[in-house]
Amino acid sequence: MENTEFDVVIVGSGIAGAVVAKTLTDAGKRVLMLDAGLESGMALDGERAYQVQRKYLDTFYRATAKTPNSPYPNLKNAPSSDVIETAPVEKMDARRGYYVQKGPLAFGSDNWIGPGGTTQHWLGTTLRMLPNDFRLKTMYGRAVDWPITYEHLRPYYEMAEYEIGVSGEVSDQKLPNIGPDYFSPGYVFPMKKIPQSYLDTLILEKNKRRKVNISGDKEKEILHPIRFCSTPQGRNSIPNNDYRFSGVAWDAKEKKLYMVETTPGRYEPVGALWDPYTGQRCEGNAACVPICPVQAKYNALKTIKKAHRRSPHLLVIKSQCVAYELVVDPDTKLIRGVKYKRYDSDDSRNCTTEFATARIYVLAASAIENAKLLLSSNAANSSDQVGRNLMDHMCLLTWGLLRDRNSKPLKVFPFRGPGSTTNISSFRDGDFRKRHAAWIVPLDNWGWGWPAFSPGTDVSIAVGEGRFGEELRQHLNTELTCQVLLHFECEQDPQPENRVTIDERYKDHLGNYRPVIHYNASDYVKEAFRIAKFVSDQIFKKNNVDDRTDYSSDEADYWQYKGEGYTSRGAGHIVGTHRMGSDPKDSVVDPDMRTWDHENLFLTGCGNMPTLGTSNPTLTMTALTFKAAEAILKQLES
Amino acid sequence: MRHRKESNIRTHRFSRSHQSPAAISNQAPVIETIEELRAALQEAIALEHFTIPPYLCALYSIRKGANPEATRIIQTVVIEEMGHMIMAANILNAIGGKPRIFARESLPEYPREMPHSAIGFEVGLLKFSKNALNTFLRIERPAEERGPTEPGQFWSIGEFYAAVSEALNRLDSEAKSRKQKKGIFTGCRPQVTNEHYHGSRGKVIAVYSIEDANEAIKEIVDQGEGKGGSIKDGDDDEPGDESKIAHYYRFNEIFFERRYRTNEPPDEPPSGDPLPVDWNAVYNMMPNPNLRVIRKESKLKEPQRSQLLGAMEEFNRTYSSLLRNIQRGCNGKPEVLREGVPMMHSLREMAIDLMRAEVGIGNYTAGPSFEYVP
Amino acid sequence: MKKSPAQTIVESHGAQRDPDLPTFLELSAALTGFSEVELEGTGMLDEYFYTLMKEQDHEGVRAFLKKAGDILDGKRNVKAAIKAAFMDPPPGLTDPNPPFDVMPHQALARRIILLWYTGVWTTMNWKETKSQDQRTSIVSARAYEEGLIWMVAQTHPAGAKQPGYGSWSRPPLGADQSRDKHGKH
Repeated sequence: MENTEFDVVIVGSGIAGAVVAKTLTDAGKRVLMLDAGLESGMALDGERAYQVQRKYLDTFYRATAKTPNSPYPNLKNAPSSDVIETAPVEKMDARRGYYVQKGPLAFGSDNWIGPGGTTQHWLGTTLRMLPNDFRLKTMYGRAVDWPITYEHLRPYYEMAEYEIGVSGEVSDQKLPNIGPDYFSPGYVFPMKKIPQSYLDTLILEKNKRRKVNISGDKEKEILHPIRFCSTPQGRNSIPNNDYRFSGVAWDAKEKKLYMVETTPGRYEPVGALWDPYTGQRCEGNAACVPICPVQAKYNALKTIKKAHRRSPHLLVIKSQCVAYELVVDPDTKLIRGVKYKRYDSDDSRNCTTEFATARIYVLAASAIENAKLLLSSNAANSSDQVGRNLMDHMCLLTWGLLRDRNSKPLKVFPFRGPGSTTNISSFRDGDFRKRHAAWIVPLDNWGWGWPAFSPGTDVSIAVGEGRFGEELRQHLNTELTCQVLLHFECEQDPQPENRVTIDERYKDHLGNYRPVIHYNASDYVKEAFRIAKFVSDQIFKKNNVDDRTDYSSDEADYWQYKGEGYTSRGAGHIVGTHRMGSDPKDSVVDPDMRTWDHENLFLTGCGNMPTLGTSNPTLTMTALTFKAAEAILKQLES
Repeated sequence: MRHRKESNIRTHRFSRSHQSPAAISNQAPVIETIEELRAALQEAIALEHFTIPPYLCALYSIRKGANPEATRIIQTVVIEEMGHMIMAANILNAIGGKPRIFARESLPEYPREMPHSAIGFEVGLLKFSKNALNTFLRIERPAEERGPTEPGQFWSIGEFYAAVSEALNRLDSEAKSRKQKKGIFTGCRPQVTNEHYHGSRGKVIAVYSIEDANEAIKEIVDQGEGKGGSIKDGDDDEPGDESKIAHYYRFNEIFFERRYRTNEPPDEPPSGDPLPVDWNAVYNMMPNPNLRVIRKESKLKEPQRSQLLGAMEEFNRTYSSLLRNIQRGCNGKPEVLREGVPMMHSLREMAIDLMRAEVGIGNYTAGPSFEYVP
Repeated sequence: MKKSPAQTIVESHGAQRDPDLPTFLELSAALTGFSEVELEGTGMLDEYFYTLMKEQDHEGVRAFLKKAGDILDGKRNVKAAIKAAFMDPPPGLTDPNPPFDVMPHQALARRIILLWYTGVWTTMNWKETKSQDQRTSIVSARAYEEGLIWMVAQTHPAGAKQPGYGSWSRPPLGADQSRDKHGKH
C-alpha cells in the first residue's frame, strides 16, 4: 500500500492548503493535495473555469436566500454547514443540517468545503493583528499570550499580502498602540487602496473628531476617540508603483523563506482564472460575499493555478477525496498515512477507500474540520485541547436610516461597492480590554442586507402595507438609499467548553463524523456588547440616525445581559480549535505549527490561533501558513 | 500572392488637393507640417471613435447569457478600440495638439461611409448578425496590395497609421536636426496611462517621445490587423493562455464559427475547434436607430412613444457626458477618467433596455442612436 | 446557461401575443410605478405573463385581468380604483399578505408587484408543492438581475450589471437627494 511518491500530503484546497502547496512545489517538493469537493469545480483555466463560474453565478441569482454558501454545491458526501440552518438550539433537529448544535447558543458561522475553500465566499478584508493582540494575558490579564510576537509574524504578513494581492494604504493605518515598526520601513501594499465608499466619506466627515463615552454609564464619563481608517483588502486595484516584490522563495542555504525583490512598478494584479485580463480591478459588483463575478477578489484557486502552472509534475490534486482518519504508528507516534474515501459522484455512496502516504502530513481544512479529523483519529490530543477554544467574532449589529439636521432623509446610497471599505479602528486595543472584549467596527456598504435581508424584505413590507405605484417607488427609494449599518465585531475569548466534539450517533452520508458543537458567550464578550450598544446609541444620536435596530427573542442567538436583550451573529471567523502554544500541556501545535505529539504532522488554518484579535483572521492565518511551510521545508531538508 | 502588411507607404499617396474640411472626410490631410500632422491624428481619433458605436450595438444586442464567446470577443475588441482612441489622443496631446473627442462631427449619423477607406463601404448600427460581422471584417481588414488609391484613401487602417507614423518620424527628426531637443514632443500636459484607463489585454501607452509614439502606433495596428503577417496581435503571451489574435481574425472566428488553431496561416479561414454561435439569440434591434426616423415612423401610441424617445435621449445625453469626460481626461486631466467609468457601464444597461422595447416599426425593437447632445 | 421553460416558450412563440398581455403590462405599470417602456426594458414581460398564466386557476387569473382591464379603461380615477379593488384589505383582515384563497385579487396584485421588483413568485398551485419554501422561488436568474428594486435603490443587482471600478466612491449617476433616477418626485 505505501508509496513514497510524495514529500507531503495536504488535506484541503483552501488558502492554507494552496499556500503550502505552492511554497513547497516552488521549492521542488512533490505534493499530493486531497480535496473533498467536486472534481468539476477544480477548474483552473479557460473555458472550464468560466463554465464553473457561470454555474455558481446562476445558482446565486436563483437562490431565494443569498447566504455565503448559496452559489456553491453543498455535497452529501462532503457536507458544508450553511448559516441558513442556524436557529435557536432548542428548535434545531439534530438529524438535519451539518453541525449538531448542543448550545446553549447556536454557532452561527459557516465555511465551504470544496475547491478554493471558503476564500470563494470570504469578504476579502486583510487586516493585520495588532502587537497587543499577541499578549493579552501580559497586557490585560485576559485570555492567553501567543508563543510568538507580532514582530515574529511581520515578514510572513508581507508574504501573505503578496500572495493574496492586497490593496491598501499604509499611511492610513493609524492603529492603537502599534509603534513605529508595525510596517517595515518604506513598505507599501501591492496595490493602491480600494476607493472608500461615498457612504464612508459622509460618515467620516461627520465624525472624525468625535469622542464617545465607553463607561457604559451615563453618569460617568470615560471618553474614547473614534478613528477611521481605510481597510486593506484582498481585491484588485491599481498597482502601486512603489511595490518592489515579485514572489516568495525558499533559500535552501539559509533555510528560510524570503521575498523576491524586483524593479518597482512591475506588480501585475492576478485576474480571473478563465481570463487574466478579467478582474484586474474590482468592478463594484457588490457581491464579494458570496461571489465575485469577475474574480477581482482573491480566491485560493489562483494560488493553486500558479503552483500548477509552474510545477505541473510536482503537484497532484485528487478531487472527491474525503480524508477521514490519520493512521498513527503506535510506537514512533509518527503519522503513517491518511485514509480517505474517494466517491464516484455526489449522487451515490459509492466510494473506494484509499490511503495516501508521504514524509509529512499537513491538515489544511477549516478549524472545525481539522479538529474533527484529529478527534476521529485520536491524534495530536495529549493536551486535550483539540476541538476546544472554538472562537468567532460575535457581532452586534445596529442599523437605522440616516437623517440630516432637519430630520430629512440623507441619502448614503448603499448596496454599492465592496462590503466594507472603511473601519473604526480605535476600539481594537486599549485599557478597556481588562474589562471587556475589544472590537472593530467595519462601516457596512450594503444597507441592512445582513440583519434584515434588505432590499428584498423592504418590498414585501411596503407592499404588505398596501403601498403600490408611484408611492411605493418613492417610499422604497427614500428608505433604501438611507440605510446604514454598523457591526461591532467583538473578540471572543478562548473558553475550553466552547468546543467541537464527535459522537457515534451523528454521522454523514459517507459515514464520517459530523461536528458536534458546544458554544456560548462569556461575560467578557457580553460586557463588550453592552458597551458597544452604548457607544452605538451615542453615534446614532449624534448623526441623526433614525434607529431601527431590533433584536427579537425568537432569533437564533438572542440573549439577555444586565437587563437588556441582544442578538449576536457569527462573522464566519472560525478560529482556535487546535491552538498554538509554548507548552505541550495546554496547546496542540508548537510555534512552527507542528503537532507536539507527531513530528511529521503539521496543522494549518485558523485553528492554530490562540486568540482572535479584532482582525478578520484570513490574513494572519495565511502569514502563519507561510511560517509553517518554511518549517516543513526545513524539516524535509534536514 | 497576397501580402499582409503595408511595406512602404510613400508620401506620393498624399495629394495637395484638399476638399471639404469636415473632420471625418474622405480626404486625409496632407501631412507636411506639424499642423497637418495634428489634423491627421485628430482624424485617427475620429476614425477609432467611428468604429465604437457599431461594435457596441452588436455587442449589446446579444441576449444576456447567449453567445458567451462571441460576446467576449467583441467586448475585448471594443475595449481595445477605446484604448486606441486614447492612445491616438495621447500622441496628439504629446505633440502639442488638443484632442477633440466630444464634437458634433465625431458623432456622425449612421449608416455612413467608412472614412478614408479606398474600398468604400458603409458602416451602420446593426444588431449582431453575419451582416454586421461582414462590416467589422472590412473595418479591421489587413492591407492587401491593390495598387494606388485616391488621395487620402487607404486600403486599411494600418496604412492610415503608417502614413501618420511616417510623418511623425520625419517631422520629429527634422525638428531635432533644428536642435529642438524634444523634437515635436513638446506637449507637457499629463498623459493618460494604464492607471487611468484600464481594460482588457491592451495597454495604454503614455507618449513623451517618438519611441513611445511608435510603440503606441504599433500596438494599435497589431491589435487590429495582426502582427507582421500573422494572426497574433503582438501582445506578450502569458504562458498557457489561449492564443491572442488580432481583431480581424477574432471577428473571422465568429463569422466562421470556428477557432483558429495555433499559428494558423492568416490567409485561410479558421479550422480549429467549433465556436458555436446562435445568430438568433439577439434582440431584434432596428437598423440604424435614430430619433428623427423614430419620431417620423414609429406607430407607438402615447405615452409609450414619449417614454421611448425620452429613454433614447437619456442614452444620448449620457453618451455625450461620457465623451465630454474622456475629452477632459485626454487633455491633461487624466484623473477625471474615473468619473466616466460608471457612465460607460450605465450606457450598456440603457442600450440593452432600449433593445428590449418595441419601437413601433415593423417588429423591431429600439436601440441606442449615439447622437450628439450639446 | 439553461433557459427557463418560460423563456423557451416565449422565444418560440414570441410572435403570438396573448390578448391579455397589454392589460397585464398596463396593470403592472400602475402597480409598480414604472412606465410601460421601463417595464419592457427589463425584457421580462413575456416571462412574467407566462408565470402568471402557469397558475392552475386559469379562470381566476383571466377574471382578474378582465377586472383590471375594466378599471384601466374606465373613466374613473384609475389609481383610486386599483387601490380599492386590489390593494385595500377589507376591514378586519389582519394578515398583511392575505393568502390566495382568502382574497385572490389582492393576493395576485401583491404577487405581481413582488415579481417585478424582486423576481420572486409565490405560486398558488398549493397541491404541487409541499412547503412554503417550495412555493416561493426566483423565477429565473434573469428575473433576479432585472428586479426593479435595484433601480429604485439607485444601484445594480448585487453580483450583476457591474458599475465599474471606483463607482461606489461617489453618488450614483444622476443621483440627487430627492428621488430615484426616473421616478417623479
